[in-house]
Amino acid sequence: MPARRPRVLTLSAKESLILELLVERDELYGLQLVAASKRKLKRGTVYVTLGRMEEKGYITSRLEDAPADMGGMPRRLYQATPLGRRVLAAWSAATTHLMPEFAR
Amino acid sequence: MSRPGDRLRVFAARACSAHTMARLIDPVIADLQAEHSEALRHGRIWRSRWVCLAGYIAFAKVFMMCEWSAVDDARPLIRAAACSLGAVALLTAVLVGLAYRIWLTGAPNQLDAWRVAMFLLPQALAISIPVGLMIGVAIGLAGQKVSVRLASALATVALVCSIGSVANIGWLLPNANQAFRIAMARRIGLAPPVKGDAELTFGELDRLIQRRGGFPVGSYEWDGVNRLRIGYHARWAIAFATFVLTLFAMSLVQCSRRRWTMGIGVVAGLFGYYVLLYVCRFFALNHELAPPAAAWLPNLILALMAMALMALSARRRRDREGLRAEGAEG
Repeated sequence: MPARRPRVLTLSAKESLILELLVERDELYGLQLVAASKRKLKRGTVYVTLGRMEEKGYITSRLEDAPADMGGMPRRLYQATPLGRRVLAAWSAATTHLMPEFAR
Repeated sequence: MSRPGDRLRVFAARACSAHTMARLIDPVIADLQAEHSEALRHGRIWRSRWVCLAGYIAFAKVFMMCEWSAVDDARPLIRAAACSLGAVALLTAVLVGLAYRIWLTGAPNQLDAWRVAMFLLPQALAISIPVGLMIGVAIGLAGQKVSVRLASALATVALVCSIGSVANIGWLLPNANQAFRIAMARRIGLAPPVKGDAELTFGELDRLIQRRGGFPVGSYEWDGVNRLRIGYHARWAIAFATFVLTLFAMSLVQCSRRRWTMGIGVVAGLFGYYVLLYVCRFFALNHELAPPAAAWLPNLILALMAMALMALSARRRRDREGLRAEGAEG
């Protein structure tokens, strides 16, 4: 049986932007992330990226405590996990050292 | 009272898993509803409408991405799409090149001649889209197992192409034809020709049929109207041939594992379709078949054949699985 490949932690540009926003502001909704990113994130793709990041273990989510006013569905709040914070820190350090021209 | 996105959520719940609903679909709907109610609370009606529209677009994107990733293996779908695109491009290039060689070789201004040849692009696309998609799907999926999700994804692509074909055949092609005729008449110093039947858009053709509809059955004028009706319905039917031919190609892929039998099936299906189209047209011109029936009969026959082939391959698969299960028990 072929040996199982070790899991490689990857971080795309969008994922790093989301992690930066979540580290900076603690807990955000999908639409708040779109607004905070100054249009760098699109509302049609942010949820798929968030879902993928949750599967990778970079973020965690929970439903808001009280449903939105006027009886809307409860919104989902996203928060960075310790793993996500470490990956972001490593990614930022690598970018600063290896590719300073791309460092934000 | 129903909130925006509630119906979309019910629709998505039929196709998506509980996990996908909780992680992807529900957050989209919840954010849409929250933003919408916020806008309404501040009395911003236009803002609330804009929020709905943006939310629906976001929902469509997320839903499509979920469906795409849910296709068992997206590679056959990508391969079929790439093969279809290649086949359509190749056929279109060949047809436009042929038209250029027939009508425009030796023109003093080659650049202008190519510009005129481009007027034949919609005419070429009317043929190359159904034929190219059928051949592309057959080549791209050859030897593959066609799952229900893959089949429905390809059927959706074919339906979108059919709708595009309606726009091409109904409006773009007649105008491009007329532009080509005018350019050719100008080249040989003739006055611009008036529009013929093939140069009328759907709306113009429909209005002409309505205007001439009052002639007695069997009269000379009535014959002309019958011809117009045949042309009108045939255009709709040919546009939807893309969908039917793609279904037929998928049924062939499911039914036969050998490439050469599938190739024969594709050629026979295409040839049969166009022969049926001409035979039905002949009967309609002789008043033995109603124009809508003559136009749609080839599509119907091919669709029935595709369904029969699919049912046959499903039965064969069930029998094989049954035998395998019996063997395992024995």
